[in-house]
Amino acid sequence: MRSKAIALLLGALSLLVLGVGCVSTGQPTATPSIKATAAPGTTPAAAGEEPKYGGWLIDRTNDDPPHLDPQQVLVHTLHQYGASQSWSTLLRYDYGSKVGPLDATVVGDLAESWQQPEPLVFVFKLRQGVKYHDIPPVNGRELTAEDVVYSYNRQSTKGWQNSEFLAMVDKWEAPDKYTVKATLKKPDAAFLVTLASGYNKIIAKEVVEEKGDLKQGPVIGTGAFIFEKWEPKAAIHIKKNPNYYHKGKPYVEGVTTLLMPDDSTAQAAFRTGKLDIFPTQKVTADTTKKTNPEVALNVSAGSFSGHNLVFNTKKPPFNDERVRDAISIGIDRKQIMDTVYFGEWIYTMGIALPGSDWQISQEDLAKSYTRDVAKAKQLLAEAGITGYTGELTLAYTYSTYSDAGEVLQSQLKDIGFNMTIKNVDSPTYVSKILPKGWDGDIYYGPLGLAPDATADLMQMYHSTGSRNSSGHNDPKLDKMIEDQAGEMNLDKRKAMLLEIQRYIQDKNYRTMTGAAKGFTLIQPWLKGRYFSFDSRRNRWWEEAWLDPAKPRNR
Amino acid sequence: MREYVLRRILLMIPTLLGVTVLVFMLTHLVPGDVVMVMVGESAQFDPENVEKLRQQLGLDKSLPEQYSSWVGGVVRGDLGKSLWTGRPVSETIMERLPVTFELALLAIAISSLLAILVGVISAIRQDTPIDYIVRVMSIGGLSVPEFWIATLIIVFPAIWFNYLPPMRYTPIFVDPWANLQQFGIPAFTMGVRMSAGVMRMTRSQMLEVLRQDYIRTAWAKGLRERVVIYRHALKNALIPVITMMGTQFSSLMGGTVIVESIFSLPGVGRLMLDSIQVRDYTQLQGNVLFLAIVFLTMNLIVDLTYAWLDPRINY
Amino acid sequence: MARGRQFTEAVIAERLAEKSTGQRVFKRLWRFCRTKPLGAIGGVLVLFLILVAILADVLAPYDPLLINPALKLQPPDAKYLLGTDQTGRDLLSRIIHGSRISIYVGTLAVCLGTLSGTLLGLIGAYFGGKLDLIIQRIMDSVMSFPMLILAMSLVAMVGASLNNVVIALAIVFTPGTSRVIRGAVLSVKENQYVDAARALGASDRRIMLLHILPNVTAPIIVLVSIQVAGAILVEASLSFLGLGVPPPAPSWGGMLSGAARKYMEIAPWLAIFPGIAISFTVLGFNLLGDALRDVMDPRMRGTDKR
Repeated sequence: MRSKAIALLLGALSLLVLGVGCVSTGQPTATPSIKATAAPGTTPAAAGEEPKYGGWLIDRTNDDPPHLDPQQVLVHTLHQYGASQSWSTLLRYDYGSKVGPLDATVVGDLAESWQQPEPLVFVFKLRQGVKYHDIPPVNGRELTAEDVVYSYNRQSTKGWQNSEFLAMVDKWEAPDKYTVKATLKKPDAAFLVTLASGYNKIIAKEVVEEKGDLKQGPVIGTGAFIFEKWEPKAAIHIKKNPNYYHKGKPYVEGVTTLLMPDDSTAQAAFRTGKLDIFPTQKVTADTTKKTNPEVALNVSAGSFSGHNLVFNTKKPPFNDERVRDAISIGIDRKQIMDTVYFGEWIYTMGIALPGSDWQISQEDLAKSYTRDVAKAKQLLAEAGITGYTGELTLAYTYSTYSDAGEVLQSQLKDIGFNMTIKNVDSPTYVSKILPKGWDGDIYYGPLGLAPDATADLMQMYHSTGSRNSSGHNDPKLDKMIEDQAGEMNLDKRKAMLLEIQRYIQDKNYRTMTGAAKGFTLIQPWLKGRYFSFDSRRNRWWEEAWLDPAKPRNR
Repeated sequence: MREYVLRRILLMIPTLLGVTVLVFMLTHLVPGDVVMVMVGESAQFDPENVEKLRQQLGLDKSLPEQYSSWVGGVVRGDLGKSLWTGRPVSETIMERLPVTFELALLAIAISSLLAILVGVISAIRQDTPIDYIVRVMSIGGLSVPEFWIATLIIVFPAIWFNYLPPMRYTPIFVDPWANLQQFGIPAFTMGVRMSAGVMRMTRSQMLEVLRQDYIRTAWAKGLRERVVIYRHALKNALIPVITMMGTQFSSLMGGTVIVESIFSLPGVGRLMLDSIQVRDYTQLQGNVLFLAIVFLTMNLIVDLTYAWLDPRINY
Repeated sequence: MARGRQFTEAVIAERLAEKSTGQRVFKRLWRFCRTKPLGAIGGVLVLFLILVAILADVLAPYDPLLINPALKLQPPDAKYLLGTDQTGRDLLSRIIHGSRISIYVGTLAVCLGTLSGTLLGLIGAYFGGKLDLIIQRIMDSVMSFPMLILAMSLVAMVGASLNNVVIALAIVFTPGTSRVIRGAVLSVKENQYVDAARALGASDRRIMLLHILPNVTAPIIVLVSIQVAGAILVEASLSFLGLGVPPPAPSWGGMLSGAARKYMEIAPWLAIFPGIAISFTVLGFNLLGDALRDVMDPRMRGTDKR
């Protein structure tokens, strides 16, 4: 009788302890503990459509990757196309109908779940039975926590850009076969979002040990596809992984990425059925739909990155806030963006926020950016500027920016700024304008974004930022950025980021004119293509399937 | 003769040296370097990482140091490693060479066929409307920018006939039909442009030869026009034409940049364009040097052929 | 052509006998048109181009730089004869003003290139020896460079602007010119009247400028006309690669590249008209140069039926 009572007491006690334990791990953190349920959101196929197996997917990119080591470069030709799906990541972004296209919600991939027992410690629980591709020297063995730790340690090699993504981690450990533990240097609200980026691929240590580096391959990972062949400057082929840990996928037999540097060639290839999917701009999409009416068109909701206008705040008169404000209100963003994007664009603040609801609303932005030449002239008069002759630097990467730049130039003339256009190419821009120490006046061109707002803010707006092209030094802004970096509470961080946005909108060190909506053409036989934040990877390849019922004209 | 050849080969050396200096200076004076390009693709960079990478690639040393270490390698036959891919420069060149070579060969074949045909007709029917029409057309062929003809040829057949030439390179020995399909149109585009110069040369040579005495004799003998043209006139007229083709070939090897880019041909021209855009110094330097050697060697061969074919010239 | 003092005297006598300079020139021109009709057509095209370039401000109906996005990509109509481009500028005005840029780039680049090439070729051939060898080797080095890559690198180095493009093209065209001039000078150098001049105590400079140079003008003229055509096309290629004359300048090459290709299907006029402009200009220069070469090349003398 006594023993029964003791057993009951012990049982109750243990339940209590467990309960408390569960509660204590469930702190109000940015990411609650998640258990792997069904596969993270899939786009529901149209009613009655079941994915069919078979067929070969054909995609396209504009160049070869420099080599095959995903930890030494950050090029889209290796991380989005080509061999990209041969590797897996620990975490990924969620997708599917319940997820907004700009929402960076993190879910597990190789990791089943994770917890944050302390503010600086994250513990990930790995899936079991994940096998590497059956290629020597790895030969299809199981992936363990050791592999993840090895991979991340290698990626953090000093001197490699990819180390940036893991810079906030102090050490990686593998306490047991299926557990990975990360200890951060200081609280970082962006940790999980950054870790989920497609750039943090898990590689195989045997290949590194055998070859020294991964540049010449062999490409061995745990991804949905297995690397098959690389025809230099022509195509990269990957084939289906029969032992993929997301059972049942991929549906296609393989993917070929064709290399076509020229867009008109790509359009012609799409028209003749040699390409299954073609991301492009509105005009090209319209003309293609005219000749190929049966293709599907997806218009994205836009993005955070777009056209940015940067002032050199170290050079008068751009050091005067009134002058910058005058220009910001004196130009007509709508006219610029409508000219090159035919109305298909959105306002943006130019920071990779966790979701579109974290950004100042479109109505707000439209209102604050309505052109007011009179006000601009008034501000200039206050600042004592009657007119200015200078240089407008453009990155001539695409004719879109060139055309937009010409419209901008003419608008600047209306408020007395006579700027001559100076074209620079990308390498020149990166070395001369991006870092501080630039001697130009105004720069206008495309903007690339990091996976999370903290990185963007630190690099572009912090006084020590490596991409602080405007060269400003604003201690108040610095503090705001540093504070939000460690704020783990979602709502609090959201409020802080909103405040930061209003502040930088006010200061105008740099400003955005807008972001284009993406137009993607999809052949009628291609299904399963979804659109979400993980655009840096082509994860949808493993969801794609080819409909044998739709006629193919290739 | 032997002396002449030897002297020419020896003279190539200072020229090539000049090329190395020129290409080294040009690549290094263009702003930006390969590390910044690698960085530019991503959205972030850490200056510390950038410096480390620069050190690894040897870009932190002084210019004279970099130059001497590069040239030192060249003299030993080592063109170095590409800064962008890490592969040996010569290996990549050898991979791309057959493509440009085949393109150049086909372009010259088409150009010569067209030009000789047109040039001969033009000369025989000198100053008649046919002469004028044909000459205007051939010059017209080179008056339109290359990238435009190429674009039109890609875009409109795709719309009208649902046709696109193969965009993946297959070597001619693997699949001759696909290969010729892919090379046919770019070779035609280039050939038409080049034919103007050769046509001109053919025409003037034919005109000169047709005035010669031995031709007059053949006419007087009553030989048919065709016999006179083919058997007697053409052969002699073609000597400088053939040598001109040789010169064109070597200049073509470096002039295929745009066509290769539009038609997705993995040739040497596109390699150079890509190298400039990513600031891959070693690759670009190696390429240019290689093409310079081809150019000078070709010139030498052309001059020697000229001397060999024309008995009047004696070195 | 002048061939020494004797000939010069004979020609002077002949000229004195004629009615007037104007009549003589007219007669020459007429003969040229009759014997070389294609060249005459070329000449007319070139003349037309130059006229348009000079009178651009008067001829163009609108400001070529005036942006009007509301009216972008309009097809040709009564108000905008050739349509509008992607920012609403009048295409006709842009093409008219573009002639200025093409003429500027074409002729200036070639003139500079010809000047430097002639100088180098002349000096090298005249003085011979080590100087000649060095100059020749340098010219060979530059020539062995693939032309487009050389032009690209030069422009990328100093930045793309109107004058930088001109200088880059001039450098590219210099070696070819120097080679031709050198050959011509070498053949003229051996002539007796040069020895005669030297015996009379003429300085090197005098000999080069007064005696040799006039006799090599023929190849120079031919080279210039053909190279101008080439320069215009190379600028178009550079624009295609993003290194040509920077926007918003209405360079024909620039108009053919970017937007024209992107909007080709909805606004073909953006490409057709600049394309026609370039083609006719290049055609004109080529036809003219061809005919001039025919006229001035001694080997072709007497081959005309008329």
